[in-house]
Amino acid sequence: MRSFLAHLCAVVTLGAGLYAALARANLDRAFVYSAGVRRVYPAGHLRQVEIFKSLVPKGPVFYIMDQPDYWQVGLWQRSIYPDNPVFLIYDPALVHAPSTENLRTKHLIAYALCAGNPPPDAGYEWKVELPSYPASIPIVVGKLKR
Amino acid sequence: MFHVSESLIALFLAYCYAAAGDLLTGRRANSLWAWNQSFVVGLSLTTALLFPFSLLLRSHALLAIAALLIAAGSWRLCRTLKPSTAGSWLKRRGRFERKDLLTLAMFGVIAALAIQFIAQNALRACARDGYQIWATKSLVLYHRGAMTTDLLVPGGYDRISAYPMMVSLYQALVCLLRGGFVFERTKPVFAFFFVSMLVSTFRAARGLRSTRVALGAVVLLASIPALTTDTNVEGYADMPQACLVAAVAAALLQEENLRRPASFREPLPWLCVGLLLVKNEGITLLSILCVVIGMFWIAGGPASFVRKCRLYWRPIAVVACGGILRLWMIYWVGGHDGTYSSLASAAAWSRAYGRRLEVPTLCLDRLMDFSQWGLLWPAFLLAIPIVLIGGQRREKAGVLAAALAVAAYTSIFCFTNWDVFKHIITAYDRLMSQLAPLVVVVIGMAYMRLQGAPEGMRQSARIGRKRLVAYVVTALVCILAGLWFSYRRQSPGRSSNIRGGIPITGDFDKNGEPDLLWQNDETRAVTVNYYSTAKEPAMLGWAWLNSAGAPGSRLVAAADFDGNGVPDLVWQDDVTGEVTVHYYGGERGSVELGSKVLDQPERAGWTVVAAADFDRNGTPDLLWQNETTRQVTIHYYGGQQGAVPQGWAWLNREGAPGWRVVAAADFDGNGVPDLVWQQDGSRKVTVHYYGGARGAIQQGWKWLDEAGEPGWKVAGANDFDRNGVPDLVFVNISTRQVVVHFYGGPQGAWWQGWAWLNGSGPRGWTPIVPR
Repeated sequence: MRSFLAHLCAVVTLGAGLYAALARANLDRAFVYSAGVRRVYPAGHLRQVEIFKSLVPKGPVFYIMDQPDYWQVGLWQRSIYPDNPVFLIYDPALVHAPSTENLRTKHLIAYALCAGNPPPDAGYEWKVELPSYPASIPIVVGKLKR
Repeated sequence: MFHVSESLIALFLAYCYAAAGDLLTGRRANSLWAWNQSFVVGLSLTTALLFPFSLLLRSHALLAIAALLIAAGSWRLCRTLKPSTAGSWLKRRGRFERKDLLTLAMFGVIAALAIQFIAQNALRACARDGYQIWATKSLVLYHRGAMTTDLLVPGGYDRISAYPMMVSLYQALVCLLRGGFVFERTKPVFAFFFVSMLVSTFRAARGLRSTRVALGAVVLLASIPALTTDTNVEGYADMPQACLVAAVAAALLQEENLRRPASFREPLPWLCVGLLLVKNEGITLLSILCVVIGMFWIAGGPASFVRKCRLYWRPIAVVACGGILRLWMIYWVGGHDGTYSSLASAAAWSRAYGRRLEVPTLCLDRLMDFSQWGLLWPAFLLAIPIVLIGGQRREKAGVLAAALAVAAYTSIFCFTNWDVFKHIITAYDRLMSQLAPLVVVVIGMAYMRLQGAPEGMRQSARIGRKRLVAYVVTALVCILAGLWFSYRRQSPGRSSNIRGGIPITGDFDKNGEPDLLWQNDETRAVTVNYYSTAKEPAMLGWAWLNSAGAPGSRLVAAADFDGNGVPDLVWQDDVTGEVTVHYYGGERGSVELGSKVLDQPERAGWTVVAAADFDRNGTPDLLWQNETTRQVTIHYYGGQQGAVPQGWAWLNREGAPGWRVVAAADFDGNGVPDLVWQQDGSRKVTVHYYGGARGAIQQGWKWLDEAGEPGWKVAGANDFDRNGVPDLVFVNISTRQVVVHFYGGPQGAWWQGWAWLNGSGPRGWTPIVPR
């Protein structure tokens, strides 16, 4: 009897675990196996990076955003590293602040990415709007005025 | 998707790690367990060396580690190629062939579960922390060749710089040998951690003298969704931390009572050092382990304690050096992680005291989530007293360590500087998955004690018959209660689309509970997730609504246009802006019945943001918002299948730049939907009430969330708690986890609580709340 009850407990616990695993596998059928996200970088982002690299030489750049969206910043910081280290400016009002100017002088930063809806104006000599993709936010790249 | 060359490189490196472990421990691994232990010891050793190498060799540290590993691998290979080794392998194969059917079946299940882990790991992209922390540290290590005090910004401090390097080092070595860094190609390393974790757990449980129980423990471990899916296949470091926990548990439970002083080459202290080098939680785990071992040593009396210290002074010195090295590294990087308050702060303790009930309740809710854990935690809670009373000293130490770790991982949330519930829902399952190997071994111990210890296994205290019966009955009651609790969350409800006089909307399977739609960001495929009518929403299942997808079009709303009680899907073309409705019905509302064009607009910059019945004619109307000015209009529909335009009106002519309409539902109970707005940056939420002629006259407004929820976007609104007031569905922008915030009170603007709708967060998919 004692052995039977111990076995029953074990079977119930193991059975519940396997049932949970099967239920999850069923859910994962759609979200992982059929149509899961295969790459960190969406194809649209890679197109943006390609255009960015054709326009901007190696060297640090600013990333200016009008609202906190750290996933998008992360995409840019990592996809153009180490050619273009990204200095983040999380508030458009800080673009012309003395600290930003110091950073610009120290690291010879001449280019900026500006993201937002609409992208904040950092004071460009020229700028190019990068093509959007699903779930992206509008973004421009340009050379900053001296 | 299956990165073969990187997997082979990772395998080669695993061999080299094992060789380094063999060199350190001064033995020659000749069984799967010994190989596995050498692999983890090698990982610990090389990761410990990375920091001093970075100080001494600067940018050549990674190269030096790679050279050392390859040298160790070559040495091991030369020794392995001796012909005498072939015979021992054959002998071991012979042992496996003698297993019975049940044992083989369990091997099969474990293999299948391991294959699913490896497949998911290969198929899924690195998710948030896997990408932004661990693989990023590997990226920096790969490019700089050594550990650095900054991360991606030259000269800047980043809190994750101080995170330990074991996973990142393995990833960087794979990239170094393949000749280039690609985020997706760092993932094969996780398969080796996973297999190692299973082998270590088997070994730890094998100490219970039963192969079947050990295999059962491994099956239980490998079946836990919280450990083997989601973040753990997407490059997070919690499963590798669990791998180290399993290795330490196995070594601890196998450790023999020494009569001679232990040497520096014992595996256990090196594994303890490795425990510190995967994630920051390793410091907590090692501290708990030291406390528990110290307690048991002291329990034998001061003389015994001194004798033990003398016997084990060398391993103690190794662990102490590892701890100092880790603290030195944190000090070297500088700065601090602001996630938790300092324990030295009185204000932090005061705040923690205020959270003393909230935190355990939220954590318990997570542990009882059947879809994530099965019945693992109820079984563990039951196992604790059984092993504490009837187990051997080492078993008691294991139980005590596991229980203390659970308590520490729970109480740490009392000190979080984040929003408590958000922190718990995003991190608690991951943290607890680190302890899963130890927990399944404890459950195995309790099973053996319930059955009666087998021959050759000493019982420190015999459990009497009456007490045993009491335990078994309690076990059954607890497990049945756990089952009831789980199924209560999933029980189907009434088949009606009227509930207490309140019409139910957004219900595809007509079970009286709103469902949730998901759309794939790239293919635009659409699924529906069915929810139950229990007190808390729980997912019952899912179905495709559109498996082929429709690139170029986007699902913008879902509401019942044809009046059959099943919501229909409203699509808008990305380029032309054309709006179509696709009618649904049939089995569980998942069969497409046809489609019609609703609008062919010539209004550039306007998008459909919601569908709701403003003119109260029984047909949903389309809500449009201008992308730039954020003005809002309503376009009325009626007639056959609800597809005939009936005119339009302004809802907000002035616009509200920076604010977006995220839902339309009746909060004040006047029968007219109200507009829910959310600010782009702060994520604050308001409701604007409407009424009057055709529901187009604004009647006032109120805050729904004045503090804002940065990182969380409102996906829609529907009544999930059956109180007649719509609730807000929030989606995390990065993780895509979904929660519902319940509302009630005057004008439906009082927050009443929250619940999960989807804790896994399928990345690459966007939720839509049907009406």
